Amino acid sequence: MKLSDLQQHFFNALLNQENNFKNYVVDQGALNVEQRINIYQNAYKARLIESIETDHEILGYYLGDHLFDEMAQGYIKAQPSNNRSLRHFSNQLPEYLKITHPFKEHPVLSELARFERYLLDVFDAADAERATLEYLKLIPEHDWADMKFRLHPSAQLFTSEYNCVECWQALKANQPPPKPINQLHSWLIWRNHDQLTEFVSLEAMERQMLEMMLTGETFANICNELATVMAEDEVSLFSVQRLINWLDKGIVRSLITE
Amino acid sequence: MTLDMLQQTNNFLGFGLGLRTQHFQEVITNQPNIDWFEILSENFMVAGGKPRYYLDRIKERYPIVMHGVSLSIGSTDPLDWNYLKQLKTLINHVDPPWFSDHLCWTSFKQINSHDLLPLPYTDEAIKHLSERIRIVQDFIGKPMLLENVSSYLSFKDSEMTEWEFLNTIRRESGCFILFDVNNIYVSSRNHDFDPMDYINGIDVDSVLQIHLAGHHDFGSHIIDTHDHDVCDSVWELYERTLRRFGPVSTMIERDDNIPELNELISELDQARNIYRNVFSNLSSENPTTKPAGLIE
Ligand SMILES: [Fe+2]
Repeated sequence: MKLSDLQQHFFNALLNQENNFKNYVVDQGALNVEQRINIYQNAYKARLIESIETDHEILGYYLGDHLFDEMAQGYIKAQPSNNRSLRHFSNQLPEYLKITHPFKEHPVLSELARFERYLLDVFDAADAERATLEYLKLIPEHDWADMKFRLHPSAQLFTSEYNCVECWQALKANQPPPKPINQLHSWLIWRNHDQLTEFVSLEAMERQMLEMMLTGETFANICNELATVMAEDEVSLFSVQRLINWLDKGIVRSLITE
Repeated sequence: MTLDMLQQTNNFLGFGLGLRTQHFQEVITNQPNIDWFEILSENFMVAGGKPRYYLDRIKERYPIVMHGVSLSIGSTDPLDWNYLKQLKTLINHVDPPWFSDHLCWTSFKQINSHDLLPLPYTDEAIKHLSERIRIVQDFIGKPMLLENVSSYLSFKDSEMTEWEFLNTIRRESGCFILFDVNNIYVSSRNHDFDPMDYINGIDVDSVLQIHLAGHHDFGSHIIDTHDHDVCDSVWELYERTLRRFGPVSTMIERDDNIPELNELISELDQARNIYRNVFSNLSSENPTTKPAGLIE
């Protein structure tokens, strides 16, 4: 048989899609052919389930063993692994939870999974230099208006419609999670100077400022926008304080002045 | 020839361990008595973060070789150039003396099994693998080692033994061999062959690295789990392996149920002792084997 045909049969067996493969396997020794094939089928499933468990530990606590297993088995069937790294196997898990019964009836589950994926992305995002307060001080005041920003590659904005982060925090501390409630909330997640992942809650205006920094707006434009929602004399204090705070946290990669 | 001379001509790195995240900090702080480390390439093919941070610090102090699990050299899928480019970038960064992957296939039609699947031992597979290995070696520009895997089934299509298959591929492709003594033991029990036939069936100048590991013995068969200490039978085979192949860089793989670093170092000392016993009388004896040498 051609190598490619044999591999097709093997893979079909691995994904439980055919029974023919056993005809190509040698029957020998203490194990029969089905048991031998079974070792590979079990290993395939076990590895994928373990990767979901590792990446979504807190979701696992939330669901409990029984529902987690139902989710994992269903996801594996729906989503064969198309990435060579297991690290990305569960990329579509938040979407799966969003559209699949019974999980879709509890939208906080999909959000919790999405939050955990953000934490993973932040963990191995690219490294980069970080701008410091000292660097900001070197920029002459008349250049501030045209100043633009680049954020650290690990910095991520996350918006939740439920209290999924509060649930995550409670479960992480071995506490029962609060009841899911509908509440719009924004978070900043990043990797700090010590390579540890951190997140903080964002006020609406902070989120707006960060979004404008991400899209390459100038400091003047950002301040103008802030002035539409707060008193004009508060804008400069607010914006400079936040900027200093983010420089301190290490989320600003560079300050760009032309 | 003295042991010293043998070691020098042999690309002999000494006794190493698979580098695991649990031990990152301790390796940097205590600089333990480990001669070298093997990293799993895929774990460091990420943009940045902690793994890369530690890798850069550890590679300042220890020689590092790279070991991959997803080259899928035996697959009938086209070679994954995206993967190869990322691998080459990491190799250029780490600058290992060699890199390795497995005598197996892992993916088919872009779906990944995340497992090291066995091949039929046929002329077609020899030709297919040898061509692909030559392409990969040329592209990467470093010696490539292929490791024998543990397997749980064999194919009616096979026309030869695993060692004949591996040895022929090695001759035709110019690659070297990463000899996993545990995998030979596991497969010998699962397929009922004599592991010494395997050891004696491999050309003496072809082995550049040895893996040792533990497994789970179910009586009727063995599963290669890397979550136990190395067992006595594997230690015996390791001694026989050294007698045939000469001083070869040796390491212990532990992937699950990972103990304290000290425990692994004690296990590594056991390998060092066996090595010393095998080669202590070497200057008075005529070594039966010629050590492997890298092609410059
Ligand atoms: Fe191995």
